[in-house]
Amino acid sequence: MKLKMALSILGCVIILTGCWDRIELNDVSIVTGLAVDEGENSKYRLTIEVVNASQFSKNQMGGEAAPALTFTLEGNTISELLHKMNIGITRRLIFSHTRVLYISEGIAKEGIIEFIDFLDRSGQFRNDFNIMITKGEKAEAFVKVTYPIQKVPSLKVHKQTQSFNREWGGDPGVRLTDFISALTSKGRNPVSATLVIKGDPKKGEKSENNMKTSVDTLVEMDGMAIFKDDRLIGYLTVDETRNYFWTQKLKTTSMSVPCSDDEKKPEDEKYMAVTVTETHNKLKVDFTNGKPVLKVKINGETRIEATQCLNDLTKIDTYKDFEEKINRYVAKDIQETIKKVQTEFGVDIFGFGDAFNRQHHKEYKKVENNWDEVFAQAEVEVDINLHLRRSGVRGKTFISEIPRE
Amino acid sequence: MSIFSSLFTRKKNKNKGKPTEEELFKQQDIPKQYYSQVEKNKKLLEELFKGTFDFKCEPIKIGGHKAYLTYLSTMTDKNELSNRVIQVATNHPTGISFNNMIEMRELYFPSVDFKVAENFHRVVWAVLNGEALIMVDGFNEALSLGIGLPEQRAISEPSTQTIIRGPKDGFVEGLPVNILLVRKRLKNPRLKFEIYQMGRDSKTNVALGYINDIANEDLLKEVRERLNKIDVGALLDSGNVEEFIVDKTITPFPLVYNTERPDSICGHLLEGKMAIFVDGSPFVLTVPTLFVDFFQASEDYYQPFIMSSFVRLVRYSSFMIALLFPSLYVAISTFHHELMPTQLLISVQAQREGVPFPAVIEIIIMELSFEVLREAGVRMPRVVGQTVSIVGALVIGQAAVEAGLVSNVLVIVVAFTAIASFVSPIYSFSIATRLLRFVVIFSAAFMGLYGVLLFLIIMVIHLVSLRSFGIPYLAPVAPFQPRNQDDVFVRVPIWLNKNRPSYLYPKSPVRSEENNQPSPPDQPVGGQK
Repeated sequence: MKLKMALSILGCVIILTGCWDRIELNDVSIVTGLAVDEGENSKYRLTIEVVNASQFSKNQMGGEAAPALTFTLEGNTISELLHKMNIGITRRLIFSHTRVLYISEGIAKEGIIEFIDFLDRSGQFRNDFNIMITKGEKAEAFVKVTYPIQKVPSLKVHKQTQSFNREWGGDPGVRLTDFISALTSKGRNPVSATLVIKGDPKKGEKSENNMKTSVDTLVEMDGMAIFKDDRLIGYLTVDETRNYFWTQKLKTTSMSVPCSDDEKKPEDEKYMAVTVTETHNKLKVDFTNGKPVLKVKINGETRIEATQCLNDLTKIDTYKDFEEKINRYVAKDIQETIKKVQTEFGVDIFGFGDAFNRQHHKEYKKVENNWDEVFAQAEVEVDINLHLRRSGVRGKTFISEIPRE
Repeated sequence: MSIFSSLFTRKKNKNKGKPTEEELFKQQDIPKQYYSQVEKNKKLLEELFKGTFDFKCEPIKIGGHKAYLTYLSTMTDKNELSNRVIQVATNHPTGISFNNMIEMRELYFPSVDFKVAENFHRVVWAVLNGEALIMVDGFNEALSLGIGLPEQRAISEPSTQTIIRGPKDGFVEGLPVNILLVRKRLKNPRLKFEIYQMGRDSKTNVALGYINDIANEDLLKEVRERLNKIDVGALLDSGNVEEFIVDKTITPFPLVYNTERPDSICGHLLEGKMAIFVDGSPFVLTVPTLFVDFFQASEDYYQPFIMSSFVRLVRYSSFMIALLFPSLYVAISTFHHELMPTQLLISVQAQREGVPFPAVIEIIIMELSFEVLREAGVRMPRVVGQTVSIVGALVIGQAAVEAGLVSNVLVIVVAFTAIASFVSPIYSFSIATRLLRFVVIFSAAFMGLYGVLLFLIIMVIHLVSLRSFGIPYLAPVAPFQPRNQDDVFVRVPIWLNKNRPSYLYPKSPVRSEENNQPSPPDQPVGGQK
């Protein structure tokens, strides 16, 4: 009897539950990118990019077709639009693999807080997709530019930002969680990466674009966007983005440091290529004479990749000399970028406010509500301490051994 | 219904006890009385064996006495019979006289296996066992001489448990040969074999082997008790015995270990286990059995311990693969798309494009057709075996994919699972995985990863509830016994494995005391340089 009970309960558990969230893979479309533009008649114009998976199998059953498909709808909330997409698309959409959210300049200037909430709230989205501000063209155009290697546009952008972030530091590496935590913090304002289209966007939509070795249309990284709260207020260039990222969590980068930083001899244009292999950075705010002083301290290791200078790299003095030059070069760059942000935009995107809060909580509380103004006035000190460790597998460069005249 | 429910409920000792030998013979209408007039006995025997072409009852003379030599010609060795019995008897037709059967045997048939049959039941039994029976007039007992059975299958390599390095002999169908194979390896007077006769109709010889000063007395008592309880028509294989002595009937997991390898049996005996040999079966059982036994191949002990430890870990993981791989595929591809990396998801989706079935139906079709193939491969005559593999590989591997009925990924999943399920060294364990695989596929199809997890929980609960002759099935993992871990997931070198596993409560728990770690000599070989 007990056994019968147990069996029937078990049977109920299996037969009456389950299956409710079961979707076969051939009944879904994988959404990889979302693009938000201003609507003509309503608030938003949303374009989704779904993968056409059959293009990725060895035996293409559907013949040649585009690797991805986009569809556009207009409406007043993003979430409604996402559920309404089947007006033109056959399958149910899954968003767990959404990699990039493109936001057009116009929307970003008006504020994006309203639909960011949906993305944060929904359990379907990952919280680590890229947020990209699109410059020039409509955001819609960006999800349509194909690329020969990563055929799905958003996957291409995702991979591109990852590599660029890791190799050179030209992408601020902002994901949804970073964006929201910067938004909610008073001591920091959000940033995000920006994209531009090089070439004709119309040509980029066709797969003929992929047939050439030099593609007609390409989506490129273009530095980053600066927000005041959730509104876009300006841009930094790619180089400035790297300088910004120095103060955050730069891993590796590479730069050309002049052999001589003597301003008087600009005609002697010789450089050494330096790769940074490891950095540890720290933001500090010291409080002297009632005024906060912003301090950036960076330690790290560098390596000489190539040199045009004739200095003898087998000598320790050369290393010391080079180290100083590198440090001065980096410090100047970072200082300039921080100054530019202070003067042109007057918002703290670096997180000095958060650092200040941690170090001098009481003082910070006094200026918390007008921190950005305090930030814009504050003095900046950049302390760079990079060590030159290696110079490849050569000591002296052979250039110095070539007999001249 | 009552049969079904008796599978579930614990056996209540209602049976009146199994019939004694006498009752059994009585049921078959065989009288017990053995007469001193040999003609009477002869008549009775001829009556009993009427219609048996190979029954012989030939008159001979021994020491002046009138006698009959009775045997089954198909069961006795002709040469032995003529050399050792007929010639001896006919050479001394009026030789020395004797007072009883034992004396006669000493005089005429020294060094021949013998038994004295004091009643008619024994006489019948002796004839059926292939012994040569001598009934002498005027004596109220007969003498049965054991003269070799006819040739049997030669000792050959075990077909179910092949090995690369290690002994290549395997058990055969004959009980004496099997015992010989073990005795040759363990020259130990404490190695005991107890003999049992089982089966009302078959009278099969069953031997219980153990090492007296290692095996635990209580366990031995339990095994003897269970063997004594067996009351069956006929025992045709050790599998029949296994079903009578297990602790629990309703379980997919084998609770009794079986092997064709004598070296494996020796290893088990030395740990303190007991071996059960059944005449007519090359598969010898050992009890008690643990879950981990099924992951240990005898080759593990002949290869370097690092290699065999690695291989053992491979076996454990392939058990998990064989059990869970298809269900994980079903669960992740229908419930948890977010768990797959994007690239993988896209390529899996690309494969599934155009497949008309849901993933679970697809996988069940494939698993079933694989089971059919496997079964056909086993049962088919060897001559046509090739056909099956060709047709199977083509139909399942290629045609089904090309026709778009199943996806490529799925073929990979099923094939890998199938291969992983062959890794288990003991077949009876791998069939358990086969069965459970279907259960977990269904569970995953209904409830996704939650279902897989639920299944695993239930399986583990079931496993820890199992006992083999009172020993926890999962020992020494659950209950965890740190001392006994030296031969479970990895194998320590043999010189380090000094203790017998304590979960078997061996009488002498220590294998060796000495520190036997090999090392180079202290002095350099060949003197100092």
